[in-house]
Amino acid sequence: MEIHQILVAASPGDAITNEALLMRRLFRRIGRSEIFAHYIDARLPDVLPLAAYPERASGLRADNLLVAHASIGESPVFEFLLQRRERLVLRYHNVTPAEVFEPFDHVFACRLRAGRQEVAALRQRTTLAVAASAYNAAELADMGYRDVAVVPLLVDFDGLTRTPPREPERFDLSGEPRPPVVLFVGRMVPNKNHPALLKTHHVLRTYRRFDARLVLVGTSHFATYVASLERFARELALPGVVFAGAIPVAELAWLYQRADAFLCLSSHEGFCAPLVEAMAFDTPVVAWSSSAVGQTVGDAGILIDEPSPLMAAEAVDAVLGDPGLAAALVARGRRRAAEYSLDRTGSALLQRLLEVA
Amino acid sequence: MRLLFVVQRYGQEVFGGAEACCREFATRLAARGHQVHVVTSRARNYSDWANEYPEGEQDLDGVTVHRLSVSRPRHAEVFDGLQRRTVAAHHWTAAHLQTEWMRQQGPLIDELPGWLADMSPGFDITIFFTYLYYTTWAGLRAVRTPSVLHPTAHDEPPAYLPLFDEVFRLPSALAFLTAEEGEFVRRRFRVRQPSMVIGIGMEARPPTGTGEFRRRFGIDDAPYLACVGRTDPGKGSLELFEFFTAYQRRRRSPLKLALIGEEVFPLPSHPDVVKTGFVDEDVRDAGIAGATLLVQPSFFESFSMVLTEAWSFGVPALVQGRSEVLVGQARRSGGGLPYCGYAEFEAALDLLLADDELRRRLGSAGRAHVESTYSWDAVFARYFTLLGRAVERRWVPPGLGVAAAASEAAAPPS
Amino acid sequence: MPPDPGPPQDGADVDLGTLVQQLRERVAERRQAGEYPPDLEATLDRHYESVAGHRDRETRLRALGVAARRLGSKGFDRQRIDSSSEIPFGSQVHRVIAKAVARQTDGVLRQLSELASELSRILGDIVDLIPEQDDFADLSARVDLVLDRLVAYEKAPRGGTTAQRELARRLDEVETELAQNRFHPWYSQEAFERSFRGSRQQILSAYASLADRFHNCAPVVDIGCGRGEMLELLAGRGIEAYGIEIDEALVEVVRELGYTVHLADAIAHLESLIDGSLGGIFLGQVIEHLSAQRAADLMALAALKLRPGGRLIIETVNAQSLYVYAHAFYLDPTHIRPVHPAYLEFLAREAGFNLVEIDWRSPVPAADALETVDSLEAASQDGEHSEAMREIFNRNAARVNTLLFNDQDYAIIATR
Repeated sequence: MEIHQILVAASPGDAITNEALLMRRLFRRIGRSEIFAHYIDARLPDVLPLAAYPERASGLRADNLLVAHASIGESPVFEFLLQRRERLVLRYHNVTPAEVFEPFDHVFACRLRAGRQEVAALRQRTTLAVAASAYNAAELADMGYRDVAVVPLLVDFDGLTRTPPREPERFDLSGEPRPPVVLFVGRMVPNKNHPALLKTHHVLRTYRRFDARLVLVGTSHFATYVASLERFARELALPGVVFAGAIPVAELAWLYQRADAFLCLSSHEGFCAPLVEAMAFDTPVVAWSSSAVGQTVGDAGILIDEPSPLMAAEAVDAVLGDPGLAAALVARGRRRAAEYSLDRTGSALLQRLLEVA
Repeated sequence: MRLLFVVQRYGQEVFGGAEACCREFATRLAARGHQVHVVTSRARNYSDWANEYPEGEQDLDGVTVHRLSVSRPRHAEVFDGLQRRTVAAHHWTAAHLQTEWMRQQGPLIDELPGWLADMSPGFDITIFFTYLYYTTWAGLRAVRTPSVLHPTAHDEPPAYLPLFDEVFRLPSALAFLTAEEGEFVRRRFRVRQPSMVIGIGMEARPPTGTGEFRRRFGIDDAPYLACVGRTDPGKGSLELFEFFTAYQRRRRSPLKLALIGEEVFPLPSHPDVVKTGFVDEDVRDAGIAGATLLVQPSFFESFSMVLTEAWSFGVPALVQGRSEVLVGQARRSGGGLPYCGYAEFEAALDLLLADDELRRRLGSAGRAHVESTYSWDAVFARYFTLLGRAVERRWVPPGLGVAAAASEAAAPPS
Repeated sequence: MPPDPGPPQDGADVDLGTLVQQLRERVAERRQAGEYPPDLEATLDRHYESVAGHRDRETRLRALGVAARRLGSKGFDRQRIDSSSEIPFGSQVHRVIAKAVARQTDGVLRQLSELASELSRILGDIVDLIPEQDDFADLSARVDLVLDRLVAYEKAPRGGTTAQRELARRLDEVETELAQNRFHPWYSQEAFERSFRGSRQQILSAYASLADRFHNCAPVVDIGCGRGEMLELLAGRGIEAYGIEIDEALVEVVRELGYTVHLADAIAHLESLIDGSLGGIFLGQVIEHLSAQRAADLMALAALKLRPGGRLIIETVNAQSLYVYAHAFYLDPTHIRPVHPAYLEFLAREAGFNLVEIDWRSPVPAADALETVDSLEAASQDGEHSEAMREIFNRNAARVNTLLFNDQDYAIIATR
């Protein structure tokens, strides 16, 4: 039996690519397994180009499976999936609503719209749909999918927490007394709602915590979006903001440990792995319960029901000022993170796949 | 005329140049038969604007004072943070951030705009003192009469905030304390409305209680330098303290330094430095009148009333050479010597302390200047010319197309 | 290392639902107490929106800058002109023609290339100069504020609105001034023209060549038609025409001669016409009576009201001739300013006329100008040297004549 995965794009540090690599490790225990992608980052030499699929996979066999990760539209990949005869497992990570991208990148917004249409069009072709969250599953159900399985995103939290941390040199978070650090980790894309993080920091820094720092970690894909954030921060003359960009895993581990709170105000997430990463690092979580965020956090973080900077600042301030509350959140976070351990999610996924294989 | 004054603080116990100047104008205009009201806060202290005076109406020297409660005290950390982000920023900052800086600077009086909207129509003109504070910023937008602003401005960082463009555009006329102030304001704000250097009146009073002052603060027969005003780095008190103590280390003279005024930012103790703390007006005047020299070390000054007061007593002065205004005042009167840096401070003290005749000459030149320029009759003659133009012109702010263009074309400001 | 969360606990004692409710209440309290500025959240939202919108504009500006710089980079070249042809020997013919007109083609290309690089530079400058929009970000708020204050002014219980009273006063002033400027002579304009413009015959012969230029230009309006000489010339050529005149007596004179004439102001009349409805417009000795503003406005109106191919002729005194100032210009007290031919030509081109010619007219009588020396035979024996002197003298005389005794009038003939 062979299980091959199809990705639109493979790039290091990307949550979906990471999941695909973890799955490949899992699938190789059973048989041959490769990852094929339409776009491949040069740093991932063992991911194969999609065009090589016919020669590298052994073709039609009754029990062979194709696992396709869906998060964006890409017509060559879609055409490929429609043409192949292997049974198809759709791993649904959710497709970000195009509207938030429209002001920054029209072409990308179009690809997102196409992505939703492609997911809907693959329904007849799909043997099994596995959603990364109940929220995603509900979306698939709306598109007419039936018997959608829910398996959380596969993340190697243990691997991350075991990484030896290294303090970043590019920015300095020291101070006397030790300044509180609020962290967010996520690509610089509009659905992550960085403006709301800056607004919250403005409220916190202006009125409550005069030495607070905000660290934003994440690669930037949309120059206009990042520029708008930098300009916003400059016009607010907002002190204590670090646009950290993409950073090595060791520095990320250090930041998770250093952070006093993890704040997520994303307007749309299919799962949001950094929430669980923060919990694994004993960092209290404050988040807006939009899209799948509430389900991922569960009862292990403070969930606010609107992305209000005043409310978010109040919640972060409570975490910073109340050690008892912080400790309770840490304890709940540890428990929650254990529920998402790779052992659990991996075996759940494998079990569902074997049921259809 | 029916005159309404708007000022951040008002009262006998309030120390501060602009506030004292406002009180002089109000009190003397009332004495000359005008109907004078003042609307102000209940605060005595600008560092937190705590409500200290009772709320409501009070008659003070013929002036009806309306005191409104400060809605929120100033929060030092919030204000300082915003101050760093706006005033000290080296780039353009959002307008709402500047507005919030103003609100936090205060004195924030929520009911002031409404009060002015309701009450100001009962007056012929509304007169604002000090460009810097919330009372002026919010009041100018709310007032329903022609208005005059006494900016009491000088070349200081906040004056460059775009927020103040509006403050200087709204008044019907501007009254300056000194020619330097007028020049700065015209340069920075390109004002188009009528404006005039009004100055402030001064009456030479015979000095009394100088011996009592010396006894009370242990100065006795020693010569002493008087420095009047709150201790504040911007006011140069720290520099003066350092210069004076250095001078004493080097010269070991019998000279003392009397710091007369509230100690807002504390200075260290020194055997030759006398700190009077807050004293009432008579004691303060006695302290000035009995001084060997008055020192005015302030870096940022729009007009030094203390200087003219000292001259009215015939006391010569040493003034901060880094303040254009003070240098100008000293030059015009011939009653003071500017110094820049310690070396000049030391040389000036050596010279003046040794030469009684020189001190007398400077002192009497100062007194003669004050008597001719700062007589209240001369001041009010200028002032009423300005008020008249403000009332008659009904200044329309520029930028309103035809109406503004027409009004400017018809009566170009002189 | 992760911070030690303290003694093992499961956090079960914390009720997060209650906590969030408490947080909500605390926010409301702070808002109520004025700890935050009113509408802080809406203000921040608006601020970011304006920033995000700004980015969009900046991106487009950048693209525009790149396009502007690209504009001049390609250059113009004769070689890039297509000379292929489907006709037998067509390309050869093309090549021959191209060779024959190469000089002209290169000239045109050079000018085009200059134009393009100039355009590129200007566009680049515009893009660079479009300011940081910062200063305007809160402009609308300020305008609102000023308006608020104006309204407040108008509500002031002082009777009448400020703006109204102010405007009435301005109007009075302006009108007083106008009344002073207006000239009401007691003599008739007709008598004046008779005395100084020359006899009807003189004017008829002077304008004849101009009237010829209105061929195929009906209908023609003669603005400031005076005694109707041009109308007579046009009628003689069978060209439909009518006059406009503001002097009632002159209107009567022209009517009696049998020509159509309206008592009207030039600009008001032109404005009342349908665009493109005129074939010709004539202004003879009129424009020097107009203010600079009205002259410029008139030119723009003329361009609008003439149909394509229509013709505007403006005849006026020559501002380049000093003789004019000594003799003609100040004779008429209603002259405001002579109009320089170069300016009038510029005005016509700016207004959109395609073809603009200048016709120099009314040379200064030869007797008034400096004379030239025809021969020096009598004056000198040294023939060769004297010939050079004679040339120098004549050149200088010509210079002085150009300055002092240039043609007294000129006409600008502009075709749409």
